[in-house]
Parts: sequence; structure tokens; C-alpha cells
Amino acid sequence: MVFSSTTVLFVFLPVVLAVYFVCPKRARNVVLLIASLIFYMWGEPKLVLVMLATILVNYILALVCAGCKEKENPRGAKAALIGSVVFSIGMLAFFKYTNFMIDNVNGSIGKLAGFTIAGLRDLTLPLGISFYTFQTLSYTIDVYRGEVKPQKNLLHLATYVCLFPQLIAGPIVRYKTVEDELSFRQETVDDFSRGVRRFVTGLGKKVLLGNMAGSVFDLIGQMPDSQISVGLLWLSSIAFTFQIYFDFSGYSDMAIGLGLMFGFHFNDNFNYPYISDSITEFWRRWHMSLSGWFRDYVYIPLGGNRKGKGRTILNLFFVWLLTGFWHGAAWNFVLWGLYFFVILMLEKYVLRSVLDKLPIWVRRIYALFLINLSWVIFSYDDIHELGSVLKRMFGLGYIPIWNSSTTFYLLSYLLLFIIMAIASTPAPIFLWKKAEEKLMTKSYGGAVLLGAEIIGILIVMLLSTASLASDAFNPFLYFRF
Amino acid sequence: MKERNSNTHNIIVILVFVCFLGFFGIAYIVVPDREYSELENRYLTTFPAITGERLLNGEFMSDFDSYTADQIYGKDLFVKGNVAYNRMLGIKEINQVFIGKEDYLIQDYQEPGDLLDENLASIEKFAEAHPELPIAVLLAPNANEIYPEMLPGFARTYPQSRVMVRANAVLSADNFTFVDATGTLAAKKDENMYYKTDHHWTTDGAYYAYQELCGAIGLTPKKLEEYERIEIQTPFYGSLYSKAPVTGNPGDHMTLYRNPDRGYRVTYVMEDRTEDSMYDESYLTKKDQYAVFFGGNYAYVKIENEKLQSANIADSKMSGEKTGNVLVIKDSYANALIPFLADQYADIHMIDLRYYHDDINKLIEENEIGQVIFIHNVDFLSTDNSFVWLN
Repeated sequence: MVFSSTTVLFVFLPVVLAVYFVCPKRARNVVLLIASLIFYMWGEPKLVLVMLATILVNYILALVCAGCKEKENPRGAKAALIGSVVFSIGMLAFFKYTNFMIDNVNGSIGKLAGFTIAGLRDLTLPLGISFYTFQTLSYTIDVYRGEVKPQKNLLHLATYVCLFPQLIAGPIVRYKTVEDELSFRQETVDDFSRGVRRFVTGLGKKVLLGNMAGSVFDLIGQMPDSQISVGLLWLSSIAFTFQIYFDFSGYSDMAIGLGLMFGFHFNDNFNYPYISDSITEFWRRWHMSLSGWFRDYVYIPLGGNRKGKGRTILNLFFVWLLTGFWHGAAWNFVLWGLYFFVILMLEKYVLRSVLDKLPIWVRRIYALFLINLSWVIFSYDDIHELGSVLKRMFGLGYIPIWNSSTTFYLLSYLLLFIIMAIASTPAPIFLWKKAEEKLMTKSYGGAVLLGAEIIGILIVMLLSTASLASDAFNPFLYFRF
Repeated sequence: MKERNSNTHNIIVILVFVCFLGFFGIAYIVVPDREYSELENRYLTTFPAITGERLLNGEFMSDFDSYTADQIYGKDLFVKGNVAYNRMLGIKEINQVFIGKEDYLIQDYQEPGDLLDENLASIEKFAEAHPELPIAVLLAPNANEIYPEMLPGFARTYPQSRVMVRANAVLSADNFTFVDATGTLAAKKDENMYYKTDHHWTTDGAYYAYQELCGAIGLTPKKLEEYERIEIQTPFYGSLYSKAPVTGNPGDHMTLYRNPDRGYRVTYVMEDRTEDSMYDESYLTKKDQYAVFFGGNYAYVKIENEKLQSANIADSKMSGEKTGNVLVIKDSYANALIPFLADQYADIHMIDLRYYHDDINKLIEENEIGQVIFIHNVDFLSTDNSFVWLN
């Protein structure tokens, strides 16, 4: 299931919310677990077993690991951890990367030696495996590090891993973030209402902005050569830049909002990434739960920046290679990760001093240009197609720079692009807060605010429902993750 | 300063949200399902069947998702609301339909792919297999070609004249007569050759194309004055409106021409049903008025003109009519044209390749077909893959 669907909004959510709050506190984790399993099995009825196996194995190994630590048996603890890592990464590697490996072997050595491996070609990727694998790893690693106690209650651990709000598209919630809330949490009116606001905001971002931007990207992608132009290709890349942000951060907002409704407090995942003035800053604001994960569980264990410049660069190279590969089993994602590695290294060692001297808006344009280009690499998983699109974008294809269709689609989507540009900045929230402060000094302020909020919620909900009921473009972008 | 968000304030926010979800949730149970959407002109998904197998392979779930989208309370309003939201943003193309000037909705048409060439090759191959048969191909342009000035500003479609040139070049067998209706329709464009809300030509458009066709294959067309003109009062909201239901569009008005001394026998061969009219007037009160012609598209319809069947050959030669049997291979554009052609031939065998997958050679032999006419529109010829059934 995806949150932005009529099934979730009008069947799944009302039923789950009703059952959850009717049940006594001790039964609520069971309700969430069952709801989460239905949510997961809705799109993946068979491969749910992979997830359940991962939970069970890590549950046992974490207990073993903690047991060994208590008996001061560090080798045993380490063995349990290694077992957990090998199993989790092994499952991920097997389901996610086998096809890719086989394709590449077939395409290189196979071609030379004249053989093809067919066997496992049609493996399907279990939904959300990249997310839940990273979550369970955060759990066992933190148990090994002694940062959290092992969860003795299998039900609690399963609830954590399967928790439907963050199950299939993140954010990657670490076990220690919700450790206490799993066994005891207080659902409050304040949290629930904040959850509603967050969820509705996310729904609007995903359906009313992200999907619309996505339809532009798709539309231009399907155009025949006689219609395309350099301008349209840039328009399409900007559309994708907006799509991935509003889709992904909207999805995170919905996840965080749903978490709040059930009394969980997840960390933020996005912090206005497109106002960054460098790529370094961009990665402190984009998909923060992922970059934080790689920092804490890969970069720092490898030695971080404490072992000299050469080792630091090597560590970062490794992190970005993995980051790229995590996003999908295809070469363009590897390229995308390494693209960021190169830029980050340049910024760290060469450009920083130059950039600092430039005015802020030049730095922002610099960052946006590189971000936009990164999404071009990201959006074409066929490396030949990617090459041809990049060539054409920089005027090396035999297409016009501009044509009438370019003007038509630019005018058609101009207002949407302006709205999305404004919505990518903190300006709307800032203005809302200002208005709130002003109104609160007046006697009627509360009523006006409430009215504005209700109207806002209703408009977003109605328009989103309209889009979903119209069978409009509504993709799920993270099936590769 | 007061507390920013009081408890009551928060409770009201929660209630609005929860009631919104609950309202539409309960409506699924309370409001009876609709089977068909007139607005969208399609069947809706009703509550799906639950079986173990369908649960395991996920079919139930994907059907259930369609069900909740299709049966949502107030669906038609939501569909219109979504179009309104798109238009409010300034978007002028929705579901490949341009929202044009003067209430015109115009289907987008872009450079055709390989399918066009494959389809033309299929027709060429068919002609080569029947060298003894005269074969006419009437190709109708679409509204974007005749009314480009009605497209929204800066919108461009692919010139269909290039498709005509390509078709004319590929269809090179000696027994071909290629008829391009573009010139005639363009000359008469002031008389509304196409519907503003439907992707078909109007009955007038079909008539002028019929005139052109007759001229090309040596028939004398009937004059429009010989028919009784019937103007349908109920506004017609066609297929393009279904794709882009813009508010405030006044709709089209359909015209029918009836032969005063008619006498037809219309047989729906596969359905084993016979009617005495080519018009199914029950559709005039429904959404898809264009289906008034023959009640829509059928695999094989036989139209017999009783008057011509009994006339002697000399008389009919003089009046330019032919008593011979003709095979028409067609798409829905032909449906509005055939009523005129039915006054030209004693027997018309009309097949639609989307549904007719039997042996065509046998049909030609058994019915002593003396002429074949293809009637298609450019968009159909470019995008439909049923032409493989020709050979």
C-alpha cells in the first residue's frame, strides 16, 4: 500500500485508527503489528516471509550478542554481530543485487567466454528491504555497542521493524529513537493534531505537487524526437528535481505524521535541501536518516577522518559508492554516488575557499545546478539513454534549442513550478508563523487560525482525493530502494 | 499572548481529519456501487471477489485499490475538481487532450512510431493478395489537422499531411485508390467538421468525406438535400470531454440525416440480431451520443439496402448507384459515413478489425465482394495494432 491511495485514506487508516484507540494500551502494539503486516502484504503477499525471517534472526542474534557481553565474552558478541550483519546484508544483496551481478557477468565475462547464467534472473525485490535491513542493522549494531538494551519482547521488535508508517519508504528510524516508545508511549491530543497537520502537508506535497511534477517529467520523456528540444529536456530535469523532493519528503512527512498519531516521534528526514549553498550542505539536509546512518554505521567505524587525509578520502569514497548502490542496483546509481563523492571532495579540499568568497545566490545557483544534474543521472537507469539525454541537454544532439512545444509546456507548468520553488523554501512556514504571532495578539486570532487551518486541511484533502479518484499519475518511486 | 494551539483547537483539527476519512469510508458501505460512469464513459470496478489465489497473487488487492478509487462517494465531482485544479494552475493539456479555444477539446497527435508503417504494410500486403479487387482507402485527418488555430497558444501537433504522404507512398499496388479527406474537410471547416468534445467528425464531416470518396471511385453521391435533417437537442459531451471534463463547456449538438424512403436491413452477424435502422436512437439520451450510429462498434455488421436489391441494374447504373457488394474495413469514423454509403450499395459488409478476427478471404469469396473500402482516421491508423488481422 502507499499512503497516497484511496484504500489507505478511506479504508485502512480509519479502521486502524479506530481499532488502535479502542484497544487497551497493552494490545496496541499487536494492533500496529497486524496493521503493518496487512499494509505490507497488500503489495507483497509472499515475500513478507523474508522480512519476518530477518526480524527473527536479528532478534535471536541480538540476545546472543548481549548475553555474550554480559558474560564478558567479546568474541562471542562480535561473532553474533557479524552473524547479524552477514545475514541482513546477505539477504539484501541476494534479493537486490543478484540480477544486477548476473547481468553484468553475462554481459562481460559471459560474452567473452560464451555463456549465460539464467538461474535467478527473475528475482523480485521485496518491498522496502533496503529500509528495514538498515533499521534492523541499527538495532543489532547498537546492541553490540551497548547503546541500547536487547529487546526481549519479539512482538516489540517486530512492531518496530514492520511499523507501517516508515516501512516502505523511510525515514530510516533507528531502534534507539523509538526504544522507549515501543514499550511505553503516551498518545496525546497535541501529538495527534501535529500528526494530522504533518500528514496532510505530506499528502499535499506528494499528490498535488510531486505527482504533478512527475507527470511533466513523464510527458516529456515520452515525446517523439520531432517534438523534443534542449529546453524541454531541461524543463523535464527540473520537473524531476521537484518531483523527487516533494514525493520523497512528502512521503516522509506522512510517515512522521502517522507516527505522531500513534505516539511515536521519528526524526526529520528533510530540511529544505534545495536552499543549500553547497553540495556538502545539501547532504546535511537531504534524506538525513540515510546519510546519518552511513555516517554512524559505515564512515565512523571505518575510521572517519581520524586516520589521515588519504584514509579519509578512501572512507568517503566507500561511503558514497555504497550510498549510490543502496539507491538501486544499476550503474547509474553507482555513478550518481561517485558524482557526489567527487563534488564533495572538491568542495572539501579545493572549492571551499573559492565558494566562500562568492555571494550567497551564486552559491545557491551553483548547488542547484549540480543537484539538478545529479537527478538526471538518478532518473535514467539505462546508461545509454542517460548518455544520450546528457548529450542533448548540453546541445550535442541534433535537436532544436527551443521550439513551440517548449513555450507551450513552460507556460502550462510555470505556475506549478513557481509554487514548487516557493514551497521548497522555509518561506511558507515562516509566513505562517508570523501570521500566527500577529493573530494571537488579537481576541479573534484563535478563531481565525482555526478557520484557516480547517480550510487548509479540507482543500488539501479534497484536491488530493480528487487527484487519486481520477486515477491521475501516482507513482511509487522507491520500489528500487 | 494566549496559548498558541489550545486543546480545543487541536481536537477540532483532529475531528475534521478523522471525520473526512470516516465519511468517505462509511460511504463505501452505505452508498450502492455504480457499474458505469457516464462522465468517464467506462465501466467502474465493483467490489472484487476474494479467493485464496487472488489474495496470494495480489489481484484482489490491486482490484480493491481500483474499487476504492472508482466507487468513492462523489467521484464525478472529484474528477471534475481535478481537472479544475489542473486548469487553475494553467495546464492546458490533460490526458493528451488540449483544452483549446472556443470550447474546443482537441486530441494531441504526435509523430507516429513504427506501428503506422506496419499498419500501412499490412494494408499493402492485403491489396497485393487481392489484385482483382478494387480497393479504396479513405483516410480521415483528425481535428488537430483541420482546426490547428483552435489549439491553445504555442501548442503544436505533428502535421498529418506527412502521414498522408507516407500512406500514399506505401499503398502503391495498382488496385488502390487513395482518398485523402483533408482538402474537402479543410474547405468546409466553417461548418463544424468535428465535434468540440468528441474525437470524431460530425455527420456533416462524414458526408463531405463520403462525397470525396464517391468521386474517387466513380459513384455519384447523394445530395445532402435528399435527406431529412434532424437536429438533436440534447447536448452531446463526447469522449474528449470524458478525458478532460472541463466545467462550463456547452457541449455539441449532433445532426442526423435520414433517407425519407429508407428500407434497410441491418444485421449484427456475430450477435445474430437484425434491425431496420442504422440508428440506435436510445443513445441520443445517453452520454455517448456518437453510438447512435449502429449502437457503437461491432465486429461484423451487414447493411442491406432493400430498394437497391430489387432495382434493376440499368436503373441503378444511371443513378450512379451500384448493386454490387462492398466490404468496408473501418474504425468508428466510418459509423457516421456508412448511412450515406448504404444508399450506394445493395450490400455492405462492414467489419471492425478490433473485433473481427475471422478469415477475411472467406468473407470476400462467400459474399462475392466486388469492392473493398478502408475507412480510417489517422490517429487510429497510427496507434491501433489490430491491422495484423487483415492477413
